Amino acid sequence: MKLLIADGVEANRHFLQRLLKDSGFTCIEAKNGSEAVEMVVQHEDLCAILMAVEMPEMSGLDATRIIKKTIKDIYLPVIFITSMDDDETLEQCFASGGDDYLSMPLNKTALICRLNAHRRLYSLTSNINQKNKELQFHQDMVEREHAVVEHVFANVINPAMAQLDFVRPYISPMTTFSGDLYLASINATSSTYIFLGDFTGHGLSAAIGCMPVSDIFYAMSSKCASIAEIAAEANRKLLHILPDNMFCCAVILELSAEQDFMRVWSGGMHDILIFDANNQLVQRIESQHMPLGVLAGNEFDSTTVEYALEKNTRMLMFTDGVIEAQDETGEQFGEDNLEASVTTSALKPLDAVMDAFKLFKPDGEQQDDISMVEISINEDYQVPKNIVQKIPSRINAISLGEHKNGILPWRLTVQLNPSDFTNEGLTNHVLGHMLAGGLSREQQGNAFRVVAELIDTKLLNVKITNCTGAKLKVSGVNSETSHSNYSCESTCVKASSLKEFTSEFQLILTVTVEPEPLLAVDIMIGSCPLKSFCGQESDRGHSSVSFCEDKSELSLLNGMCKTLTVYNGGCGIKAEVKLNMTQ
Amino acid sequence: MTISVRNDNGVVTITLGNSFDFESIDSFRSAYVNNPSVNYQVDFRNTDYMESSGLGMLLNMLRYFGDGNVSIKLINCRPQILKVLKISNFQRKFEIK
Repeated sequence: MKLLIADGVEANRHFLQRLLKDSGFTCIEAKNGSEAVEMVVQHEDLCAILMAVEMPEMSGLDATRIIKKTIKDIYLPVIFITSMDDDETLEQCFASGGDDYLSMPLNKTALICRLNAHRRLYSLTSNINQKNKELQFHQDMVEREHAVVEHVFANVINPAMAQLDFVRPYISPMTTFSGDLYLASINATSSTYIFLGDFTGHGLSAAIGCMPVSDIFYAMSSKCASIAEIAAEANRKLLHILPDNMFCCAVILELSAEQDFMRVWSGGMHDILIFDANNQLVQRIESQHMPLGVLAGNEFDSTTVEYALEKNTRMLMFTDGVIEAQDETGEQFGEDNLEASVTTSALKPLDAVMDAFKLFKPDGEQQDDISMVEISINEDYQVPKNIVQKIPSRINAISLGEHKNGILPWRLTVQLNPSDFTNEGLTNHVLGHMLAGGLSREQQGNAFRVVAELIDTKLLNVKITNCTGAKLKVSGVNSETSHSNYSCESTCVKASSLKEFTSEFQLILTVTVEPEPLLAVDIMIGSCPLKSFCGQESDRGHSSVSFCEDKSELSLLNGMCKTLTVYNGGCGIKAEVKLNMTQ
Repeated sequence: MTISVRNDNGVVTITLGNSFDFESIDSFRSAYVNNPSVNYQVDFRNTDYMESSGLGMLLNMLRYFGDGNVSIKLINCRPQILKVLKISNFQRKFEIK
């Protein structure tokens, strides 16, 4: 431990050095007050100062004042050593910031005992200072990180939120981050989708699940996915990412554009309460399922329940933070109390509950995130104008999930002219349409692969009569595995992919479900590709497109298809691929 | 009140405290991890309050045993506990008595 001896008299300094020999202290010396101040700045590891009161240039009292000002919160004890032991001197020593006082003549034991006592205090305070520094560092870091996360959260969850004048959400997170999640959107048919969820716990760890769920909700609702599909997808995602003991209680509801009926998926949430215009409870919708993120895909139940809606009613949904809130006696607010606060009030349900809750918890302190959503079904509700015709009520309509193959039959025609032909992204574009048509990774079988190969890979031979006018033998018409029948007689042959034809073609994808799920791919090359490959106009002979020979990709492709045919003189290709429908 | 464990001829009964909340997570886990069996009863006779993290701890227990044909019964549930279990459809995964 390093000690500073500040005294103007050399003999005194030597005397102190001698006393402290073998005491475990290393001593450095200052001849006056200003030297002492300099030493303190230079030696950060000083643990105590023995200071004379009177010194040349700057007194010990002045030096102590400056030192204490410089070191601020750091504990560096200044022990005055003086022969003047009158009260006035004593007072001055402590007033200047001194911590202790020893009068001459010095006793060796007393000096060392005092110094050791200060040394203990010194290590204690320097320990605390160190811990404080670390705490401050961590706090700053947490604040910085929270600021980033807050920004990201706000951008993920808020921007896509639909503002609905018939829905009033009250969301009050306990901390910066909410484990309660409210989402709303309107789809292309003007149906309203509302999500109210409550993740296990609260704070940042609970809020993490909000990001994937809001992404899924907005992406799928914008594509008119059903709430059953949204629930299944959110469940799949949460099961995958959340730890086993975390899940999300949720209500997902879809309100028809005319607001005459709604569809509800509810798992682990308290009853949705429906009140009439006089605040009387007319219906409660109970939770039907386990929360999201608990059951594996094959166990998960995405069944929804449909309800006809009366005009002039109000629905109230809430998370358990409301009814599990406790007053100072430990009594919970309770579901009965919540209901009663509405039925005995003339206010709108949300206002009635908020008033009762404020009386119950005047301090506004929260033990959990608190969320309530009120939906008003008003008589004077105007159906959004973008609905051209009334969508038939779907209460009794079959939903896609009930279709026995899980997919509807459809047909897609892609017609490309030279002017709008670009190579970039053609395949992805077509595959994107297939996805939108309900073909999924599980259901695709080899459909995606076959379509991509036919468009993308150099499986095709362009055969043309050469400028000599020799006739091309047309073969392979309507043959089942035509590629093996070809012999190349032309002198200008080029292996190429469909994309490389700067020509017209038509691509028709047809999905049929009877008698078995099948994707038919029909490619028709519209005009002679001679021009692009030979650089001249020619109507002589035939040009044709056929499959290349001796291509391993081709035999692979052939294996993936139920049938693979070339027709129309090689200018048409037809493939059929079985779809594996999973139920 | 804390969690207590009793083993009667292979039937391990875990009796919960007054409140089954997040603070019980370690003692609840060690109650079944340290007492291997195929027959468990979680006794709620003393329990007035369970928050959703309690449900999470029950799910943890279920996953811990996986498909090991382990029976987990939830017994002596008071009405308010029963309600929390029912809202989250826990009867699908646990036998509730």
